[in-house]
Amino acid sequence: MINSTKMGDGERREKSRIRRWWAVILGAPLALPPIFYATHHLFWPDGPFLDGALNPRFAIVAAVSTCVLGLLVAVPYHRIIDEHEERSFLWGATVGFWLMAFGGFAWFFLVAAKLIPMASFLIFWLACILVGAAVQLWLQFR
Amino acid sequence: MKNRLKVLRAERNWSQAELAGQLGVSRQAINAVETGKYDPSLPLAFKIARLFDLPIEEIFDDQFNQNG
Repeated sequence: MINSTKMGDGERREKSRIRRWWAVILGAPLALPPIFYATHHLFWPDGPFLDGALNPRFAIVAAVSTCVLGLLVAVPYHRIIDEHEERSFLWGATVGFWLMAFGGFAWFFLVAAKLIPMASFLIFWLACILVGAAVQLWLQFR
Repeated sequence: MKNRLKVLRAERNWSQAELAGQLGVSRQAINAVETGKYDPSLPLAFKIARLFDLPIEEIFDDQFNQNG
């Protein structure tokens, strides 16, 4: 039998897990903008920042640091979450993937026939991520 | 799959968060198992059985038992 004599330990462990979960989830979104801004300000103080004409060297640094930070978030995230959260994540990712795969083709046909306007790839990609995230959160917290 | 997790937890006066911490899963996972929205994996089912010191089939009912 697992130790069940120290009641309250379980709640403490669960709270600690939740704290780690939030630290990982919020860590990257909160860390990236200051890193981007500081890097840009240090090395290319005169260049444009968020007006659509990024300094190419800064763009490369930003792209690489985004991928590295993404890995640094993904690994601890998947170590922290439990099997129920993993299942919710997998369903969210599945829905996002199929939406991108078939939704993209459907959109292409309708655009080619000039029935709907051309969509920005970035907006379509964000929409797929948001739908996937909504499915994940619904399954996780319903 | 039906289960007696909520009853067993109530008998011990444990909160969902307490049970979740004992099992190393989230409170939402316990809630999902109790309400039948999620069937736990075999390792988690064994962990639950050990925690309550009961055989798995006394906690989880796959309904094959009733039908033969």
